[in-house]
Amino acid sequence: MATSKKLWGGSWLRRKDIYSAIGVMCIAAFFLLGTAFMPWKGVGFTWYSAPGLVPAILAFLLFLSGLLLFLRALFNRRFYARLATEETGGPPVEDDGQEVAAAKDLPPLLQSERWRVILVFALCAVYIFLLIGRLNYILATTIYMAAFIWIFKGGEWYKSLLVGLATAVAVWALFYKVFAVILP
Amino acid sequence: MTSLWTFFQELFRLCTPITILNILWAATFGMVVGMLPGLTATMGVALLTGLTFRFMPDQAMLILIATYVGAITGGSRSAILLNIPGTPANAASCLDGYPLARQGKAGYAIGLAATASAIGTFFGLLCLATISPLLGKIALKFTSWEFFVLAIFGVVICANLTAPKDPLKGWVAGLFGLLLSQVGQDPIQAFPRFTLGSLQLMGGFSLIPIMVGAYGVGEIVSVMRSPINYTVKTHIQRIIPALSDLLRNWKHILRSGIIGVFVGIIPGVGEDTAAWVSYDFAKRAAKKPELFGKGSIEGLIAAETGDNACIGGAIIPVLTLAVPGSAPAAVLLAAMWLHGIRPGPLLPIEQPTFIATTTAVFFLATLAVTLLSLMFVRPMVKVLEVPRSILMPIVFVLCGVGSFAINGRIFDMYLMFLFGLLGYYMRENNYPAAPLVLGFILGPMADDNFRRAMIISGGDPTPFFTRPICLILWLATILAFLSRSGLGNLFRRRLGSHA
Repeated sequence: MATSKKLWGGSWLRRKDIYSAIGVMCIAAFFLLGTAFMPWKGVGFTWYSAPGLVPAILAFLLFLSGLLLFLRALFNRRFYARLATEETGGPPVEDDGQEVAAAKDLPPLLQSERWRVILVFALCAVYIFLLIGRLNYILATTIYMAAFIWIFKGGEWYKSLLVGLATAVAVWALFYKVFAVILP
Repeated sequence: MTSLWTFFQELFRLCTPITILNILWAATFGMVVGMLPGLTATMGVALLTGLTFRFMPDQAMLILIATYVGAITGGSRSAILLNIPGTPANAASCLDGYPLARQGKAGYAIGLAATASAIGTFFGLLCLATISPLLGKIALKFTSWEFFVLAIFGVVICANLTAPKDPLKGWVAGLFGLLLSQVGQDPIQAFPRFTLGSLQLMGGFSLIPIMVGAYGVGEIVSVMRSPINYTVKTHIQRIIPALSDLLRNWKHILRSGIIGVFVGIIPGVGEDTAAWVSYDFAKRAAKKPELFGKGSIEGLIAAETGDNACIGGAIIPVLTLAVPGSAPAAVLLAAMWLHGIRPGPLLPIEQPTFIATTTAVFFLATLAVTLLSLMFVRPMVKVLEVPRSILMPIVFVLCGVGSFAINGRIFDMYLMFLFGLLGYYMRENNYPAAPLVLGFILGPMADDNFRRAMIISGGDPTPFFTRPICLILWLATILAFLSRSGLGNLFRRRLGSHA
């Protein structure tokens, strides 16, 4: 435990940077490895015009940047301390308490930022990967819209359904019929 | 004189009922997108790129430019009324716009912001019309060596300026964008690179799903994240600003216009930087800098003039060098390619009237946005009362249509979702999206020109460092790199200790 505290230095951003730096290095390594399997000499080209040359240079530079990020996150605590003190913004949003009170009336799941993000991504993923292409476009869009509005307390189920259907029909009529845009 | 004549010819040619209808709905759409917190000009333009795919090129450009101008202008509404910038370009407007609204001058602040935006956009337009032909002549001197160095310069400077606190993350984003652009068949030998045997990846990633995902989907999630929903409570009264307020601030307007255009020309930087730099300069030059942040008219005028002047500036390198000056301009560039227009040094030769057409389109768009932004303030502000739980799924549905429409592939919708995840992750970890997009756009240019140049010189890289334009660009790149890398600080410390 003490080791991990020492490693992370208690900084949330530092920890996130360590993870993202590892991710960046892995991506760069994948691309670098990919270039190794490309031809470097062939009919009509030599190493300096090979298809893998530019990707190899870029992947190497990306790996280097990831490594720098990793080393900085591990050893440069002062940088993160400075970042934390430099956080500035505009004047704070003034509320009269109504919005905060309305937020407190939401179910516990919708009060958590993390769960809200997961819910949005989950709903969008269901729409893109499961509904679109398998169901009729209007039906798929109505289901997605109605579910989104209902889950995020935009209205009762019948209102959600009505708004969903109206949106789906409007998008279909406007883009498919008027603009002749193909729809999934 | 010939250019001016061509401009008027194009202007009269475009003045048809269809054009006016298109420009009005696109400007309104842009303003609504700009007004809604979280939805940016880039997202609006990217969305309409797919949806206007079947339009005639000049009508499509008209719609996209009207949306672009409308979004940057409309973004000040929510900045003033909610203290939440509609687009990142309007963040500086919050500082003085919101205090003005709290003083009961919301309508006046909106009118002032709209007028300053209009002046800024017209200034940018003027520069677009005058600077583009001049820069076009210089661009004709660019060959493969210069284009490669220009691509590197663009990514480095964009990364530096969009991630001022942590440029390393900007460089990571830029390099990742450059690498992503290498997926698919290479432009010289048509060798498939990183396709993993997938036919869908043979042509590489499409720009629109990447942009719609990174900007649009990422933004939808960011908007929905907070359980608190802020709504408008301020009453709007007088809207048209006093002429004396504008005349008194002519120096701020002129300075911010110049800054906006200059920042716009720098690749990939964009309106938010232009607004902040203009605001900062106005504060330094103001007689009462202590009023900045407490409802200063000068501050609001400077920010709004700067970000709108940047639009014209950002389109200049698009037309002359095929290098976008901002993220929405990057989508414009992609839209031009989709419609068979090839911006760059050869544009005046291949399509001699296109710069004049774009200028005329820009002029009409600015006119429409100015009129709409001053005439329909109250009904437009009503949009801010629509619950985000209804608005955001509609936006997502439109994002899906926009991504699908160009190639008619569901694969592009999957890509949009995946890049939405990536965009959100990047946002949460302070990685700017602009260098990623710019890198993706400039990647093919860098790859193609680097290898072409090496083939011409027989593998000798010295021309990259000896040609005059290359030298200037390298010098600017190295200075930008050193100024942010920490090495600059090290040199300064060493010099200090020796002295």
